[in-house]
This record gives sequence, C-alpha cells and structure tokens, in this order.
Amino acid sequence: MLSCEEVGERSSAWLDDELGWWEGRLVNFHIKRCAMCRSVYEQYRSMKQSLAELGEGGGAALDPEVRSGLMAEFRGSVDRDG
Amino acid sequence: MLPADSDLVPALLRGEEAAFASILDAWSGGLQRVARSYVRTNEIADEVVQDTWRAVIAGLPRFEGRSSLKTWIFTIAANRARTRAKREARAVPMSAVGGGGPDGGLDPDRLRGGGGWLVTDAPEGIDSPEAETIAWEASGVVEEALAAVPERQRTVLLLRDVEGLSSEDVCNLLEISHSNQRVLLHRGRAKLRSALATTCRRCRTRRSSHEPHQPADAVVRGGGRAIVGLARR
Ligand SMILES: [Zn+2]
Repeated sequence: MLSCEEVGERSSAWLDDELGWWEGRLVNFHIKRCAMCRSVYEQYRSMKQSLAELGEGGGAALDPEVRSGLMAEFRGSVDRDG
Repeated sequence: MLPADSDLVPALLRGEEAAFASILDAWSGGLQRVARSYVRTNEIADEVVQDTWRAVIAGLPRFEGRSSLKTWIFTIAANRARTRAKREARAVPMSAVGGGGPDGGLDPDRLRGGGGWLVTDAPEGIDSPEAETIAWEASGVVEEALAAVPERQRTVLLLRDVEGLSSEDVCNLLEISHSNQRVLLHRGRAKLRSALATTCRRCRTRRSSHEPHQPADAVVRGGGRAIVGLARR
C-alpha cells in the first residue's frame, strides 16, 4: 500500500486523470481507506472546480473605452487589409 | 461558449466584428490575470492586455494555426508581460517594490490585512481531519489566495486550471519541459490549498461572529456567485 506521502505526490496527476491504470488503482485503494488523504483529495477537487469557475466567470471586464478603441482598430485593420 | 477555431479564425480574417468582440469579452479577464501574475500592478496588467490585443489585430493575418487561437493569444500576453516585468524591475529600485517576495509574488499577509477579514485566529482543532465543512466564497477568496502562490507556479495554475489550457500548450507557451510543468502545477496547487485553508479559517471566524445562528457546518450564503464547499467527510 502507498504511504500518505506517496499519495500526496500523486494527487495532482490523480486529479487530472493522468495516472496509469495500476497507479490509479493503488491511489484509489489508499484513498478509500484513509480519511486524511480523502479529505485532502476532496479539497483539491473542489479547488480545481472553483478555479475553473473563476475562468468561466471571465474576470475583470475590459474598460469600455479601451474596448471600443480596440474594436475600432480591428475595423481599421480590416479596411486596410481588405 | 465560443465557436471552434475552425469557425472563429475565418470569421476574424473576414473582419467580422462580432467574432472579435466575442474573444475580446471571453479572454480579456483571463489575459489580465495572467499578465498580473508577472507585473506589479493592475494598471500595468491592463496595458499589457491592451498591447496584446493590438498585436493580435496586427498579427491575425499571419496566424498559422499551429496552436489554438487561445494559446497563441495567451502566449503573446505572457511574453509581453514578462518583458514588461523585466523592464519594471530594472526601472524600480528593489526597496520601492514593497511586498514582493523573493519570487516576485505578492505578500499574502499584506493582502489579507486590508481585505476585510477578521484577524482573530480561529479556535484550535478546526483543521483536524474530521472537522466540519469549511467553505469559501468563490468570488474574491480564491483570487486572493492565488496571490500567495509564487509567480511561476501561479502562472501554470492560471493557464491550466483557470484557463483550461492543455499541459502541451502550457509547456510550449512557457517554454518549459513536461516534468517541470508538472512540478510547478503540483506545487502551485499544494500552495494554494494551504493558502485557502488559512483564509477559510478567517472567513469562518468572521461569519460566526456576525451570524451567531448559522450552524457551524453550513456552507454559507451566495453573494451572487457559487460557494465552494470543502467537504471533509
Ligand atoms: Zn493517507
């Protein structure tokens, strides 16, 4: 059985589903029996999810003036090239 | 949701304004975050974003599609932010930078100090494995905790977990090896997790002092955005 430390080292790869079949089994086996590693893994998982939500939320919007300036530049470049 | 590159790129090349507006709105926030992971202020990051879009407009006819459009644009931003950060570092004496750690990351304590969190420490024992649910509000807290992650780790974390780029893309974009990328991602996540655990203890304390009737394990109220619970079962 893997030690807690060995499971910790693999947590990132496990999270991204990047472990090989056998290693995945070993980690799974440990996590099912170890409350501490299970809770750590749960934290990683919800953290990854909230980071993804941060990305989906888009973040700070462009300043309206900057935005319209860039739109005008885009129009201008098309006129020039086309 | 944006259309696939195979639709998006031709539309941009045809000069369709709606297509350009859609990527402007979808990616500016992410570009700002990535730029901000290199440079010291939001204002400089905003300038980097603006410069990036100018370069995109100028470079679009030469975009070869060897990477995805998103990766191409984020690469431009990362390169510009890196150059800009180097220039700033030369221009500003180190003593004036203030708060920058040895890795150039922001000092998390400085952020937390003024962030409105109650500074009282939570009672002992909350961090035990079987402790009740701890929670954080997605808006603000995660971003705040990200400031505690060292620069290179944070950039990888932003590109992989926030922007959802593949490890392949991130390696090319940052010009790092696969194993290096893996290590940075792993360390960044570990660092963020511990930063969140600290922040969370503080927001719990704050909540319990303001909301005495709230059950201890409640994953608390939505301020518009989703609440992320760290269920410890
Ligand atoms: Zn364990």
